[in-house]
Amino acid sequence: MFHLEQDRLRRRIMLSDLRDASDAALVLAIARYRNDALAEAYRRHAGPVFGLARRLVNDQARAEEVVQEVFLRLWSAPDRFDPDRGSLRSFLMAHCHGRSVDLIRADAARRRREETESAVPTPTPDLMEEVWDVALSGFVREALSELPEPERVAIEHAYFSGRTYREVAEILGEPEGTVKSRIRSGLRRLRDQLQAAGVTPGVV
Amino acid sequence: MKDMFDFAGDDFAGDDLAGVPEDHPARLVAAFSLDAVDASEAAVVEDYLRLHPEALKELQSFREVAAWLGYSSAVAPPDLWERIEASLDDRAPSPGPELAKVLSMPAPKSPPPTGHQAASRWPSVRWWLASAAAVVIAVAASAVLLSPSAVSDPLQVAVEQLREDRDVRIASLVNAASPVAVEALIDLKGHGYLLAGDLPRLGRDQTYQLWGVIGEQVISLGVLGPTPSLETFTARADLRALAITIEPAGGVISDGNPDGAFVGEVN
Repeated sequence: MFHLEQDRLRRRIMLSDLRDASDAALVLAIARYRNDALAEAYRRHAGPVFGLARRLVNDQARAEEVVQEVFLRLWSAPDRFDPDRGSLRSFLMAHCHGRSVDLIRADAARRRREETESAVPTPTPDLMEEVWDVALSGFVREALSELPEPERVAIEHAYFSGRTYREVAEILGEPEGTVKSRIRSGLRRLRDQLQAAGVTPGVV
Repeated sequence: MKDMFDFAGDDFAGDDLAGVPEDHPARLVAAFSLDAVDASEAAVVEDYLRLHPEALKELQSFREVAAWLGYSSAVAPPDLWERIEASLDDRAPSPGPELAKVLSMPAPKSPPPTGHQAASRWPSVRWWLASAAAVVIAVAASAVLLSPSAVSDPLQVAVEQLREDRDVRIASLVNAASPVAVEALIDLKGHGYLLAGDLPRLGRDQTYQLWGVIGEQVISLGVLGPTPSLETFTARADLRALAITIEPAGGVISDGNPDGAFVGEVN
């Protein structure tokens, strides 16, 4: 009984310590086989990662698989995260997005999605609301809505539908080079607007 | 280093891509950040990014933006963490001492180590090895390992004299799974001596390889062969730790094999 209390106390101390840990410190602790560090990373980021996966693969079970894969990869290969190159959040979200897109492209997920989507699969405002229902997302929503429409549509098709820019160009009936340029200029504009709004990359 | 995309000052990460050919990978970085390129284009972009740090920086900024785009208030299913945690036990840690402690990167306080969780993981070393790949060649000139044939009595005399030198820097390279310790001594001028004669003999298809931790990078200091004895190497003043790994004969440029590694901090 005494040991159980001690264990609980130690666990509480560890968790409170980790809650203040930076991304780099957290990942270093993960590299030292600290399950509680992975748990803290999960606590911080699992929700958005799951939300993105579910949004993309449109399937609860597959989204869970993606989340599981993302965090197990962090556990088995923490060296892939470089704190000098961005936040842990963007690292995990990028991995989640990439893996989800792989699934969409590789199997019938896309077909399932397309069966449930409208003929023009532009994300609807309601879906956007679902994706962005957090305080900080207000900045993102505002910034995205302020983009010139061609840029916004190109980014939405590419990011939320998991399509290549070539596919987006085909859907929109635009030259591929134009779509590439719109994605780039839109992202740069978004980045600038987020920074102007005080949203610092890497800070959740 | 010139790459296949041969444009003058071709680190296109600024505002203006005017004049940049339509099929140049700089034009694909943004789409790449959204995973919106096909596999063959992704490979081209990755090659480009390896050689163009400004483009890599821009990619990271785009990925930060993308992460915000995908951010939501979704809550992961309650039992998902339990499933993840249950599968962690299946992943056995690598053996070996904790090289990570030689880094200055702040880590959260750890509880007293117990069981296999106490073991450090080589991936954190591989992290540095991977990042060091680009500088291996440049450092090679300043980190030369002499051939085993250079070992002779005068070397042993030098080692004995160095032991008496109060300015000597010493590292004891150990592996938790082995009773053997390899001692390294480094003098003020950066002449290093590695007493590796107790290392187990390897087959002809394998070799020991010496690595140095400099700053936060791990750099190959040379190939020791399958039966090293008293070896010499050149160490920079900012060398912080040494590691010996077992590699295929001939050694590797980077990304050393963690299994059976001997590691020690330079004091």
